[in-house]
Amino acid sequence: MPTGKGHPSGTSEAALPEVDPITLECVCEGLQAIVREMRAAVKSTAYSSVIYEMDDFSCGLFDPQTRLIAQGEDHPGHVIPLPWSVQCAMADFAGDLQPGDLILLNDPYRGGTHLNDVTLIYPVFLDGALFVFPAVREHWTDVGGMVPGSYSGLSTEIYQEGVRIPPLKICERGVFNRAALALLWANMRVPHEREGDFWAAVAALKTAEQRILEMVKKYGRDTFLRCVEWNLARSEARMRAQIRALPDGVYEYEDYLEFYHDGRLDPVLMHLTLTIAGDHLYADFSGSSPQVAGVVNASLAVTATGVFAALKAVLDPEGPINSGVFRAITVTAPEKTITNVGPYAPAGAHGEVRKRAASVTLGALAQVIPERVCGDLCGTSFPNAIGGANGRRGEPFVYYDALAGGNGAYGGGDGVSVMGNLDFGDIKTVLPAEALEIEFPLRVERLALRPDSGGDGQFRGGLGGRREVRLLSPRGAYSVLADRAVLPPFGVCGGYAAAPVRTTVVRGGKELPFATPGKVTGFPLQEGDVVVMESAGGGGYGSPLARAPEEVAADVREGYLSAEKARQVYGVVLRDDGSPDPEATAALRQALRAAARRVRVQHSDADPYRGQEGKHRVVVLHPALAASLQLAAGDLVELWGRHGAPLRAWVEVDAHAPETAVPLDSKGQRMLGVQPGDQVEIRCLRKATSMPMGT
Amino acid sequence: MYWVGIDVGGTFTDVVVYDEQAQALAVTKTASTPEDAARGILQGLAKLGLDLRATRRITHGMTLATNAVLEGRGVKVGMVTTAGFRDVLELRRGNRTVLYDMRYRPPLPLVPRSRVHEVAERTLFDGTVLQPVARQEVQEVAARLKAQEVAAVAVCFLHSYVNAANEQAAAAVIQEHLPGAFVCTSAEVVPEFREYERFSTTVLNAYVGPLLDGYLRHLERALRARGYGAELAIVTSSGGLMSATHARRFPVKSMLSGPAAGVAAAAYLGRLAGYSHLITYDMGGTSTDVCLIENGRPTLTAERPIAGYPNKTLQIDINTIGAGGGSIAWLDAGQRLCVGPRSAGAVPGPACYDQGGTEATVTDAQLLLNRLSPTKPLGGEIALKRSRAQAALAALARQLPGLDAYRLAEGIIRLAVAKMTGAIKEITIARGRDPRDFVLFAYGGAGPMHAAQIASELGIRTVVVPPAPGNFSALGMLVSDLRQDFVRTPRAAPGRSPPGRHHGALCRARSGGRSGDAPRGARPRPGTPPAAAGHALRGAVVRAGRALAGDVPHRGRYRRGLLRPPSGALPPQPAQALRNRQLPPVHLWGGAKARPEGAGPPPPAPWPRPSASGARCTSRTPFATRRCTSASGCRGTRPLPGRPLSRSSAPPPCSPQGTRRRWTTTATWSSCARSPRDGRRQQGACPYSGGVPWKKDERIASIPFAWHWKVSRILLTSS
Repeated sequence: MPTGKGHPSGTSEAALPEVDPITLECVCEGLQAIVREMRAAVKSTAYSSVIYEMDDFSCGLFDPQTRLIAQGEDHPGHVIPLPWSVQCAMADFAGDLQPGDLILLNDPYRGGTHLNDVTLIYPVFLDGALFVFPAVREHWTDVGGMVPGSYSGLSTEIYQEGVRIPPLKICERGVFNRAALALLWANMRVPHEREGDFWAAVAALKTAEQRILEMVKKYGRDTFLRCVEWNLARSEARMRAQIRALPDGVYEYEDYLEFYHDGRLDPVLMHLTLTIAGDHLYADFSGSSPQVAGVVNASLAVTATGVFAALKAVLDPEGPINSGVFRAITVTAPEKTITNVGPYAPAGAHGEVRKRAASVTLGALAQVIPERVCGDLCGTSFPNAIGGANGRRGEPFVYYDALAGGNGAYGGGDGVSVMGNLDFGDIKTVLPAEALEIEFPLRVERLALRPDSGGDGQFRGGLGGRREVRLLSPRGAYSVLADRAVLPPFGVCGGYAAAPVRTTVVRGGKELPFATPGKVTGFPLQEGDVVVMESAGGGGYGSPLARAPEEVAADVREGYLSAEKARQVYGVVLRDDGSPDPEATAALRQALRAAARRVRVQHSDADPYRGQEGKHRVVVLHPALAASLQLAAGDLVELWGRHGAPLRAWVEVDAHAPETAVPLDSKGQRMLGVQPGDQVEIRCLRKATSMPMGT
Repeated sequence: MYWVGIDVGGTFTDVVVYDEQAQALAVTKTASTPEDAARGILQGLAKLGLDLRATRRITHGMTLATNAVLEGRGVKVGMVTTAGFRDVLELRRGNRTVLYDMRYRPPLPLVPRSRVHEVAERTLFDGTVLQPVARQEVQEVAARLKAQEVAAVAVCFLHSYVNAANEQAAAAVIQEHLPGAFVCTSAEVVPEFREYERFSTTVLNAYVGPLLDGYLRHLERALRARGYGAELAIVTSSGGLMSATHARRFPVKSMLSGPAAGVAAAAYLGRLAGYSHLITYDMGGTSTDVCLIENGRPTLTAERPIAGYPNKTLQIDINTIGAGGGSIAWLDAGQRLCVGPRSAGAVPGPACYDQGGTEATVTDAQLLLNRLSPTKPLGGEIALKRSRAQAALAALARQLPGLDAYRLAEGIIRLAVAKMTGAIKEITIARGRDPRDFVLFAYGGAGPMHAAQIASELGIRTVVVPPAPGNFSALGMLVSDLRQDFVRTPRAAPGRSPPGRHHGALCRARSGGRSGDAPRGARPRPGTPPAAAGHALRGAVVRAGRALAGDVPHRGRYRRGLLRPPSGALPPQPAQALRNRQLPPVHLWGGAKARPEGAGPPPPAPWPRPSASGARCTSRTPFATRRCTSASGCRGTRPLPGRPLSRSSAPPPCSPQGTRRRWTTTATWSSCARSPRDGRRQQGACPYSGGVPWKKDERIASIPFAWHWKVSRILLTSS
């Protein structure tokens, strides 16, 4: 329980009054209630289905020091980067804010996430002084740009992704800037929806102002501020206690985002150094790829959100969320890298960068507390957009779909199928087919689970989903911005990787696969084309050979798993009636265990990274060794050492490599927890023949 | 003739009888018999010595369906659905209601994937049948269902809310092949768009269908054998009555049977007391239900799930939170004081029950502060031990620097009150209603004890406490009216769809017609940008309609449309769907009563007067409403000034001299006379802080220091 003295936030609180714990709770609950009321206001007045059907928006309250003091059931990807948005706005307008001003922004370099997330910040004044900032961030279906839905996989500069709005006063002393608004609406598709969404946010902010002032009137300004301070301080203490319980140390992990350079896959590296020092945690992204002329860049605030979401999920899911918690965590990244984007690279894949930051955090934690982490997330927000002319109504339409994928399995339970991941808010990612068909010139032909897509393991990763949509209007354009379309989500503690994202267009019964999986910009659709969207599964946990045969049999019976995979991966032999055959299973499992490909590690000082704009790890194998492992140049493999998470690398074949060992640099050895002479297991994830890579 | 209300709860079965001739009320309580609920009912009826041949109507409310879902005791259900949509139940809406938690799991689908069967068929959004069902294929599916030994089948096809032909055809074939099974279709359960929610409701219906069917059939037979001639009436979740025949087909409509009756009764009694805007507040042992009543009508919703499964049937919009008299106070990992949602329940119960409970609860806090009598058994049955409460609270207080047991007790109550206040804010402020425009109507075992404090927090100036607040729901059975709810999903543009147009669709719904020819909407005009605030308001106004009557068709789209036809515009012939001709017919919610000529008995029983066996209150006061008016209100005497309290003060003792000191929220002591028995004598006299008696020596309400109270009479008429 915090006391009045000596807590970390400093400043002038000695002058503030004592507050009893009960008033503290009442004020904190009251602040949450204000945020909930803001949410209700947005949801009941917004115009676009992304907001009122999917709930893709968030609200929060900030103090003049730009600290998040309250949020509700809001999307972490929106609300956690919001303090930075408020900071940017304050940097521009500090000293120049008046009652009645309202700030609008979406610039990813100046407080935004990606251009579709439009933020409104409203400074509320008390007795002539800045008091609290309520803020609303909404996902607008379209903010202009080169394709319906604005962001798409193959953008090369930000101007293609829509209208960029640096922090600006859209309303000054109560007078709205109608010229600016007119300019915005003129540059966005389906503008009346955007307009309705804008005013919905304004309504929520006005509501918040009224409630805050009522609350201050009831409790008094000083008591209010004291409660806020205490709440931040105790939240911080709670997070610090969790961090303190972890062993100190430096843990590294790396993963990739999929970037296409001239149509060829050129993976970009995300590298995390996680340092646990006492009750503070440092996450540094030095070593990550410089920003690229592609969508897989995001601001530092977005990167930090991924780190925070993963830490919170592992350490303390029930704890409060406010800036107090963030004080225990420091996230840094060099400028102009994929993890800290600057002008003028696109930033559409903010959700993917956030999810990958969560992945590498889970990977690093898997080295410390493997029993508490889960398999990798499905790895992408999976935004698909189909736009075109609506034959029924003659007006343009933009259909936005973000089918969730599977969740990672954890020690004790399977991952949940098709559900927003731990870095996601309560967004309803499955839109009703009946609503879509009324609204858009589309027919939904299938909405189903994707069998065999979960990462196999003692606990199985959640399955991805599959949605098939037929276009009923004469023309259309399809775009998708997904990641984990080539590199699958990883499993932990011996668990297997899940199935990656897959999208195709079926025309006349034939599949038209995309040359750049997961990244498509404005693919022209014809009437009758069926767009097939399959979301990724979640990573598995533990060896599939340890899964109870009865559970495998149940998975086969319910159709989550094919009998073939049950045999090949889980080593479970099923009888004709579907029940497992214990003896045959035991024998098969023994054989599978023996068949795992293990190779000795040899130290190497050579640079393991290759790439053009991007950077990816290679593992150099002798031709004979590669042949014995049934691997060829360009194959994607996973190396498993002692730690809970695997290391990904592409195979290079070189006659100068050691004949019976796999060369590994010291960083790679650290990540796997192995030393020269130890063995690593090598699993093939994807053959070079199905890899859209250049070299 | 008699009118009978029966409320079967988890612990007790309440039977309430109103005698028309004698204008008298009798109440009895028997232990519930979960293995055969009918036995408890018959025991209760026998105890009252009732002649069922002279009974005009028996109304029944129960928790059978709800408990079956909550406890997962439903039957084995199979599902038949459109090809390509087998996984609708498991995919849900793809959302997580618990953020950040990697271990969060939504409830498992009530029908496992292996019992969901696809049929190649398709209806389009406008009702066109793209592909009819093939009898052969459905027969094969029926054979598979038979092999799986399902007891119930939900037939759920896409867009059946517009055109149910395919669903009906498939259901007929399945029923033919599985004659003993309970078969229902999604369009008959809830003809509304959004497939997951509709399918989920239909599956819930199937899940409890055979249970309710068997139970009600058995009960009806037993009642008939004892001479009961009319049809049994069942309370619906929307606070009305349906025939037992209807309930057996649509048991999902009885999910909130019990609490809905309480709210309906509150609306009725409130109206008699002259209040049409009420917030009902029903606080029990583990949870608290709050609900808004506007213009004498409870607000309705179709958005509240049960056990995590969407239930789109129309129900009284009851907001439930996990805090009640038995809620446990505890410290979380961050040393935050929390109250609930874990409850001590009935066993072991609060620490003061002295049945083994050691954790401090809200009831313990109330007892320690002398707001419950330490000498009188609770409800006449449970003896309370103040020392146990004190020990439990002191143990918790030791972990909180600067708090003693008394301050902690007060804090626990304030936290519980803050939770209730939050729940009420959600149904008022969050929907644009000002709680100060409402009267707080408090019942349930623990409700009246906290009511005045909650009212103070919210600025509510009047609190009404009904007689026997602990058994209020049972009384509600007698005042509920017949009612059937219809829903359609029409399509229209805002501003171009006068309510009358939707009325057409609804009338067709009522007469069993189709809405395939429902008005098709024109495209909305792009809004001309008006002044800022005006525009924001415009958005709000469009949806304000939705808030009142469900989703109003919005901008040329189908949204959920719960439609309220203009008064008096209903066709004279009620829906055929209401199968019981003996009962007065349809009462459309919010609409006018339509009563064809010569139809059955007069409207529901007038609110009965108590009989001799009723409450032993002042003899000729049929109903006493405790109205608490705040000092700032019109009933103006000033409260006694309180003396400030020093923090080191001793615990408030129980004085044997008939004066008790009470700890009030204003942290002052106030001395007052003990348990006044005549409200009128007290009026304008001593501000009373503590329990208000209903019966002798039984306190039911706790009234803070600054409040006055009085007992007022309500003249009851049968109109």
